[in-house]
Amino acid sequence: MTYWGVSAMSHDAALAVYQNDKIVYASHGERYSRIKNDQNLHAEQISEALQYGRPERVFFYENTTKKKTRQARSGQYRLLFKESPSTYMKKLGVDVPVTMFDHHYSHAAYGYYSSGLYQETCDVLVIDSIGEFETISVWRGRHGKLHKAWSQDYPHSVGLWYSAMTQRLGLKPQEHEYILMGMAALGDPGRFYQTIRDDFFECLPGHNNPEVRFRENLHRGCLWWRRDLVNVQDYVDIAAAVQKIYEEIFVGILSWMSKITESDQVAIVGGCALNCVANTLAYNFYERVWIPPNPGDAGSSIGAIMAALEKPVVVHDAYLGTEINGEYPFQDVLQDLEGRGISAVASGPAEFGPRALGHRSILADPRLLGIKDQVNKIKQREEFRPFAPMILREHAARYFHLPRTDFDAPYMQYAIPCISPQLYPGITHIDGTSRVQTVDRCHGNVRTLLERWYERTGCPMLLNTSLNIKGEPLVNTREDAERWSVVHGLAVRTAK
Amino acid sequence: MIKWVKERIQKWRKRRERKRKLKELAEKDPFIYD
Repeated sequence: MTYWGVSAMSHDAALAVYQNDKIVYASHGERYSRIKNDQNLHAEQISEALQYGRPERVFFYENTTKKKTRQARSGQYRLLFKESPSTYMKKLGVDVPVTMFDHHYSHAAYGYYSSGLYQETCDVLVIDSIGEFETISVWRGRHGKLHKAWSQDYPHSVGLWYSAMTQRLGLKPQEHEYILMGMAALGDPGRFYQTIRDDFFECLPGHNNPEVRFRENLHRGCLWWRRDLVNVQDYVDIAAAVQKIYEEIFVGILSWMSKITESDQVAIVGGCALNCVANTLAYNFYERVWIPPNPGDAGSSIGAIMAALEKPVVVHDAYLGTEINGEYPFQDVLQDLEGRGISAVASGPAEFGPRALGHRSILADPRLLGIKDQVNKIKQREEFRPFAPMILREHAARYFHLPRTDFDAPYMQYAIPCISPQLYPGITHIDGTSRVQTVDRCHGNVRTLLERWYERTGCPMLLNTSLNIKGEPLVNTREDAERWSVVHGLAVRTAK
Repeated sequence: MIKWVKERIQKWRKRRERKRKLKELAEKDPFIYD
């Protein structure tokens, strides 16, 4: 039995293939078109998926009929004439029945059924810009079934507000929110905290009420807000205040959720679940926190399949995309790291998700002074932006203040305070935190690479960043890797 | 009859004005999300 899960026609198009009780393939449209957050699937991607046979049915990640009702209400009239998912798939040569699921249900299903908590109780928090109407929803998973406990509707959307503020800072909304999050550590949150609260919010969530209400509909951004604030210091202070308020909202909802349920486990999904600084705060309310590797809309391609089957589906790891066949180039990478202190690798199946987890990565020795500047220069990124470390899981507690002893972050979803930030400036942000990836057996070759690096140097950690430059999607194929080597002057070690 | 025509014209003008305003808004501040 083969099913496809599809997320497309809006942003972050993705395609997942389910066969024999497991996800055998999943990939992002952007990796084929080389357009960041591309909304379309591509012929090459479809033909890769067809290698597993024709699907019997396609599960679509949102209900476009409901969505059009909301678009009509918000005045997005042109979008009402957009084709249906069924017509869209037919144009791609896949003429099979298409079933649609609600946007937040697809998210929630992905969070719950991938959490490994199928038989237990687990709360699910979905928080993003907009689904059809929903912007935040809280679900309870019990005995394998999901029930919606509470939701909040458009136009009151935390995700939209965060994106609007991103745009207000001169960044690209729905793409550069992570830059705002990084900028926040440089600013003084107190300077604009009260102003932003007063100007935008009617009420914020708390222990007794999860509701967030805005004074304005921010669907068209908020470029009108405080046009007098134009210098860099203003911008970083705004970013700091925005992040602080977002964390307060996040904590308020979790506090309410943990009060009304007896569960000590939570899954967090939706685009806002990529806010790794806030995510760590969930450990103050729950014993176990699960964030799947691709919590945004692209991950809902898997979520739609899980929503349809209403059961857990085996997703072995996040390496589900285009394969670069051959042996992982351990020797070449280690030689580069010991020589120049920096290496690039493209080997095995590509990561399905926004983070490079060692199959399409630039790796560097985190102990070297100036390594951050060197990598930032290659990647053409802003100087202030930090890099993430990947570390052997059993060594993580020696280097980081983990929120729990059994803490695990296989997909880089939490910002954790570093014990000695001065020793590893390349992987520590200005606030002394790092977005850690703990490397375990599930990481396969990446684990072996890190073990060999540890044997040679006594350091269980490597700087790990995505193999791309700013504004570009991750390298996907062997040809992409070769092109990247030539253009950016750093040899990419590919599978042999 | 004349009253009816006047009303129709008024309605049509109102609708045209609303459309113009929406178009202006869309050019100035487009939606940041679908």
